[in-house]
Amino acid sequence: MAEEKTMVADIDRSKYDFRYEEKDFYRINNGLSKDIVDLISKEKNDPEWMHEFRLKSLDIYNHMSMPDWGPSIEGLDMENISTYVRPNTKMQGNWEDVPDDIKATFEKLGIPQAERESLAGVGAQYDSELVYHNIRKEVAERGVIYSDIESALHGEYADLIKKHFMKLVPPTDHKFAALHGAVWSGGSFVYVPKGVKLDIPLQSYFRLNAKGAGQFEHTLIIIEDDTYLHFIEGCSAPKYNVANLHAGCVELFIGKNSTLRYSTIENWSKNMYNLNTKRADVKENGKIEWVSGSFGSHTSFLYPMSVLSGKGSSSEFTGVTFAGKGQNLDTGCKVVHNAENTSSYINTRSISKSGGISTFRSAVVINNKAKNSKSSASCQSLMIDSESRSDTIPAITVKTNRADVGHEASIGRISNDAVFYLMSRGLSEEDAKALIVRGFADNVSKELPLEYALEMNNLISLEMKGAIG
Amino acid sequence: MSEVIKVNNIPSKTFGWLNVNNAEISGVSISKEAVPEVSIKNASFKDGKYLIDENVKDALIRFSFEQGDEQSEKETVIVGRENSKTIVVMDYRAKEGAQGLLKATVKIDLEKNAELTIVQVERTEDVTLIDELSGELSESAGLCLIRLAMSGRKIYENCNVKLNGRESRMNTDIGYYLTGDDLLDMNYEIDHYGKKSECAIKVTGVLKDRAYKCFRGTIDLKKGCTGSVGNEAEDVLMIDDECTNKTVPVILCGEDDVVGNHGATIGRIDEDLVFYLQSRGLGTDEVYRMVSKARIDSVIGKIPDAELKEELESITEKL
Repeated sequence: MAEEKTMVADIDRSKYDFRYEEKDFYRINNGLSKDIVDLISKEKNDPEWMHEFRLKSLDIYNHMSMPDWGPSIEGLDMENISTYVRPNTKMQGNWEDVPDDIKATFEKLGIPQAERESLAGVGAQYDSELVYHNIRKEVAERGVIYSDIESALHGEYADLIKKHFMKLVPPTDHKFAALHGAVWSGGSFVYVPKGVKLDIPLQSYFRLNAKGAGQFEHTLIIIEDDTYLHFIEGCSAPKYNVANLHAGCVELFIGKNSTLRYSTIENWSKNMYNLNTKRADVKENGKIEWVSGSFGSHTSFLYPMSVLSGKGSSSEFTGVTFAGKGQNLDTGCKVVHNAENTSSYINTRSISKSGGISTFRSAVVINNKAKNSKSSASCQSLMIDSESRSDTIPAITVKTNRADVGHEASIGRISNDAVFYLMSRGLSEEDAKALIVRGFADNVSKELPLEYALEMNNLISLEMKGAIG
Repeated sequence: MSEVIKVNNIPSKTFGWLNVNNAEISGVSISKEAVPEVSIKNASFKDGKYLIDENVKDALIRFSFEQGDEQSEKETVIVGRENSKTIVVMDYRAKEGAQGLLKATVKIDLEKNAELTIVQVERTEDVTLIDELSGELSESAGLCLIRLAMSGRKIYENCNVKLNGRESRMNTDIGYYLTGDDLLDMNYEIDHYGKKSECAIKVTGVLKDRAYKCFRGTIDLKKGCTGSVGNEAEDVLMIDDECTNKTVPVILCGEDDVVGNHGATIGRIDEDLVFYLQSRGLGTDEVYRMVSKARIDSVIGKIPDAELKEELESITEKL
C-alpha cells in the first residue's frame, strides 16, 4: 500500500467568508484626493487641527515613494479603493440596538459571547466605523476609559489625544503611515489611570465587509504608571476577487512599572493587503508583550515595534505566521533600545505550505545609551513542501560594548529523527507528527486566553497522516 | 571623473533606515591593471587564467599586492581542473603613506572533485580595498576561503559563490581585528543549487576604539537543492564603547528538504571568564588582549602556509 504523505490542512476560512449587502451604506468614491480627505474629515466632524493634519498627511503620501523591499504590492491600486464606507447605524452600547445583519456578523464571530464571558469591554468596527462599544461598569468606575477616538477628540481627553496622536508613528514614517494619517477612521482610545490593574482583557474586533474598500482604524492606548492591561484585537473579512486594504495604526504608551500585553489574531481574507503599523513606547521598568498570530491576508507588511525609552524597560515578542496558497506574509518585529538595562526577547515561528511565502524580518538596534542591555531572538521556520518559501532577514545593530546580544534561526522541515524518537517512546506515527507540529506553533497559543488559543488552533487545523515526505 | 559607487548590495533588501542594504564609496575612478607579483608552483598561466591541471595535488600560487596612490582594478581568474588541489595566498598591502584604492577581483571555477583553499590577508592601511571573490563549483568540488582583515581604514569584502554541483561545498573562516576608525563592510552570498551541497560561514572578530563593521551573510537554498545544509555563525567582541557593529544573517529558502541555521553573538567577554582570568593575576587589559588574540589566532591557525602563518602570529603577539 502506498504511504500517504504528511498533510497539513489549509486553514478553514468558511467561518469568516460570509458577507452582507451594503444596504443603505454611505460609501465615498474610489481613489484618493484632497476632496475625499475633506469629505472624510467633514463626515467625522473633525476638530480643525485634525482636518489640517489629514491634509498634511495626504501631501506627505503624495511625495513619498513605495518601499523598495518586501513583497510586491502591484495589485493594490488606490484608484480602486474606497477609503470610507459607513454602515447605516450609529455606535451603540447595547447589542440589541445594533442592526440585525451587523449583529449577526459579530455573533457568528463569537464577539458578544466573548464579551459576556470574559472581557472587560469590547469595541466592534464594521467597515469604517465602530458600531458597538461598551465597557463594564465596574471597570469604568475605576477610571478606565475605553471609547471610540472620534468621541474622545471632542471630550475631556481631547488634549491628551492631540498630544499623542501619530507622534509615535508620524505620517513621515512610511507611505502607508501617511495614507493612514489622511484617511483614518474608527478605532479605539484606551486610558488606564495610575495604579489600575485590569485582570480581564479589553477587545477590539475589526470586520471589513465592503468590497474594494479600506479600513484605517487608529488604536491609541495610554496606560499610566503602575498599571496592567491586556488588549486583544481580532480581524476578519469575507473574500472578494478585488483587492481590499488594511492600513491601520496602533500607538501604545506605557508608563513606569506598567505592563501592556497586546494580542492579535489576524485573519484577513486572501484578497487583503495588510499594511499595518504598530508601535509601543515603554517607560522606566515598563513592559510590552506582543502576542501575534498572522494567518490571513494576500500580502502583509507587519512589524510591531518597541521603543524602550525608559531604564529597565523590556519587550517580548511572540509570534506565529502561517502562509498558505497565494499568500506572501512578510512579518516580524523591531526593537530599539534607547536606555540602560533594557531587554528584549523575540520568539517566532513560521509555517509555509502550498506555495505560501513567509518572511521573517526584524531589526534590533541597541544605541549607545543602552548600556547593560540584552537582546535575544529565536526564529524557527517550518516548510511543509518545496512549493513554498521561507526567508529569514534579521538585522542587528549594536553601538555600545556594554550589551549582550544573541540571535539564532533555523529553517527546515519536520525531522524524521524526531518522529522516530517519539515513536520509540510509544507514540503512533500520527500522534508523533501531530505533537511536533502543534508544539511548533505552541509559543503563541499558550500566551493567549483559552478561548483565543482554541480559536487559533481552529485556524491552524492540523491534520497529520502517513509518512513524511 | 570620479563617481560614487554602491558595493556589497544585499540580495534581499530590508528596512532602509538601518543603512545595511549596501555600502557607498565616493571618489572612485578605477582603471584596470595587470595582476602584479605572483609565484606559481605546479600551475600555469594561460589566456589570462591560472590553471591547475587535472589530478595535480600540490599547486601553490602566491600573489602579493602593494598598492600606492593610484586607483586600480586587478582581476585574477583561477581554474581548478578535475581532482586538482590548490592553495592560493593573496597578501594585500599598501605602500607607505599610500591612499589609493585597490579593487581586487578573484574569479574561481572548480571542476569536479577539485579543491581550492584561498587565503586573503588584508593589511592595506590607508588604501581603500574592495576585495571581491566569486566562484562556481561543480560536483563534489570544495572551496575554502580564509580571510583576515588585519589593518585597513576601509575594507569592503564581497564573496558570491554558486554551489552548482551535487555535493559541492564551501567553508569560510573570516577574522578581523579593527581599531581606530577602521571600517570593514562585508557581503557574503552562498547560493545552493546542487543537491546535498553544504556551506559553513564562520566569522569572528574584534572591534576596538571607534571601529565600524557591517556583516551581511546570505545563505540561499534554491529550489531543487535537496539535502543541502547551510550554516552561518558570527561572534563579535566589542571592546570599546564607541564601536559600531551591524550583523545581517540571512537565510533564503525555496526548498523544504534542507537545513539552514544561523547564529550570532555580539558583545563583551563573559564576565565569569574575566573574573577567572583576573583571579589568576591578569589585568583587565591583558584579559582583553589575550581573548582578542585568541580569536584572530583561531583563523590564522587554519592557514595552510607555514611562512605566512608565522608572520601573522608574530604580528598578533604584539596586539
